[in-house]
Amino acid sequence: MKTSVRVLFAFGLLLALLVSLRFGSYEPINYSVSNYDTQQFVNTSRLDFFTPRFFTSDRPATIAVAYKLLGTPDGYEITNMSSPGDFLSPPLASQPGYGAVASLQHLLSIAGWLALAAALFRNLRHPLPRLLGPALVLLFGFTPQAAEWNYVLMSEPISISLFILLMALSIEISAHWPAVSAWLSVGWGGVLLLWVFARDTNTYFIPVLLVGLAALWLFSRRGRYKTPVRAFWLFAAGLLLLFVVQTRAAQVSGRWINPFFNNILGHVFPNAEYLNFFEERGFPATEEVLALRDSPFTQLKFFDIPYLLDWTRQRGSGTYLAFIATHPTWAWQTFAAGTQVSFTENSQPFFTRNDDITPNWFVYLGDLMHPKDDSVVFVVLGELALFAYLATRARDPRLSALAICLAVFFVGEMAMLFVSILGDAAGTVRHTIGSMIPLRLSMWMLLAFIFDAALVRPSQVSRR
Amino acid sequence: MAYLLLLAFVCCASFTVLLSSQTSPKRNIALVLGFGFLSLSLLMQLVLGFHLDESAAKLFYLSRFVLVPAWLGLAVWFPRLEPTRQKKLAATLALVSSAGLILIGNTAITRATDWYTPELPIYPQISDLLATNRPTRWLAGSLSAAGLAALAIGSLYTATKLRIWPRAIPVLAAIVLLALPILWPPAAWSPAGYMLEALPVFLLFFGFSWLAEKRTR
Repeated sequence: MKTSVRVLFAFGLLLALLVSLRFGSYEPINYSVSNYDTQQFVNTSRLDFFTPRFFTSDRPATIAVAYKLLGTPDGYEITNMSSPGDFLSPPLASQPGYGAVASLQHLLSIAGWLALAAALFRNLRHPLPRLLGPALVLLFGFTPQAAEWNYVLMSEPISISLFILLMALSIEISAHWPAVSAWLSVGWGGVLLLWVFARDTNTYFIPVLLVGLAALWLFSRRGRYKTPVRAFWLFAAGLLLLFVVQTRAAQVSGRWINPFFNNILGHVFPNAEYLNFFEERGFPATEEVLALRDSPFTQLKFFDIPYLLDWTRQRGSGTYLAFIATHPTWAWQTFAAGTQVSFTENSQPFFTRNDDITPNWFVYLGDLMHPKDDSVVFVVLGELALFAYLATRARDPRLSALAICLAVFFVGEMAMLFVSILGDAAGTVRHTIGSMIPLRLSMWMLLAFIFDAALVRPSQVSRR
Repeated sequence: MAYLLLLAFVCCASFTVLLSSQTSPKRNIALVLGFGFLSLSLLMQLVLGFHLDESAAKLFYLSRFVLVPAWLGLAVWFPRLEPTRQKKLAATLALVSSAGLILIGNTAITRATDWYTPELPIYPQISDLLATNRPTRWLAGSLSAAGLAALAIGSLYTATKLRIWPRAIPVLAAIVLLALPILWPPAAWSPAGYMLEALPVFLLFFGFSWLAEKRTR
């Protein structure tokens, strides 16, 4: 595709302006704020990478790898602790040892957003959406509502940045489907691997990805280019293996036990019928256990009851899955209510923003681009339907592949949202941020795709 | 749902760029300007949602109350006119618009920022904000009324003449939606209020596209 010098210049200027805005609107990137999870990442990073324990410890592996690689000889020392639940949100500060990790989080984030902007610029065809798409994406990613997460030393920032990078590579692959370069496939696989090991809920994107891949394969069988059957099955088998390995690692790690107890506290104890369901499957509802029924979330005393812990390790997750499967109305209502809760916040609560550095208008723009309104889901659905219609009408295989890709991301985000909401009754807003940011992003990004599909006729596009 | 305002602005500005990039025979300068002023009014509304800015308040009043109906009113008749008449009418309207710009530009803003609330819609606040004198009000009122009438009659006439009257419905619906917050200013934002701001952008674009599509066959 030919790019005029004017459009290229405008794109370059846009990037320069927005990147300088990104660096100029925030405190130094080596500043940070810690949370209770931060020390656990450090602990995991001290384990030997080449042992199963590294993958089955308290915290996901990717983040621990970052801490391992960026550790200084003096080690890490938490000096700026945050705990929004205890109304402790200090200003940002430099913490000994954590500067490199915080900087990595920022640089990875900027790289992710730039990659997504570049993917849109490369793969949209009309000059208007080619500039509009990157502008919206970069403004969205650089507003405080998204950028400030990178100061928080938890798993979310790296996970979100890797997801944006994955999105960029997926758009690039879909736009060239099925003639995809080997390097691009390897890069995509690598980013997927890192992202899946960054947070346990990310694993549940894989089944959706498999369905999407199958759809792309079936779709391309009808086209001019044929996807090699062996390569497809190999890829699908790899994804399936990744899903099995990570779910198994998470299960063995016991990282799910605290969220499980939160679910018991939040969903099961308040309802006699639900408690009865669990009791029938052996849940030890003894006086000792029931004495904790009115506790706040993250009640560590549950871990001091050995028979409860034994039952939970053996039958806990299976029973909870059976509970969800046999109570679909409850699951749906909890998901719907949790989605509304997820939309009630759009900013990190971990530190106090420095208003002297971050302009107020940027925060205002961020509030507009990251709406606290669940109607966004319906807007995205409507945009996806419109884009799919335009792709079908145009009979352009490239557009159809992109429509499948964007639909897969939407369904995958909803799947992760479902798992995050039903997986832990506590901390819904923080746990769902990994789905919320891409969901809100889709609303703006899809505008560029729709304009592009509406403006360029297939006859105007040269065959690749 | 304030994001709908930004969404509407992005779409409206994109429509303006698209319309302006059309080649000469299809290009409708009145339509480009109409959409341009609609984009400007949405942008100013976004600015006023952040803080009270005097220029933004004046530009919002000028564009939303005066120039949008006037230029869209001309736009619907534009393709049916001879080129010389097109130029004359566009030049006349440009002159009147400039007069409006001067009048409204010189209008004083009531300096009572303590009662101005950015979170509330600008419509009920603009009359307290702008101390419009008679010439300003007359010019604004007459341009607005003439523009809306031209838009309504023009779209109906075109649709009836070409026997595609259902295609005038989006334009007529947009006129109603554009007039509603001016005639009955909403006291507070509601989902319906935001929809009222966003929908006319799409209705007008599709309405004009459909009317133009039939005409060019």
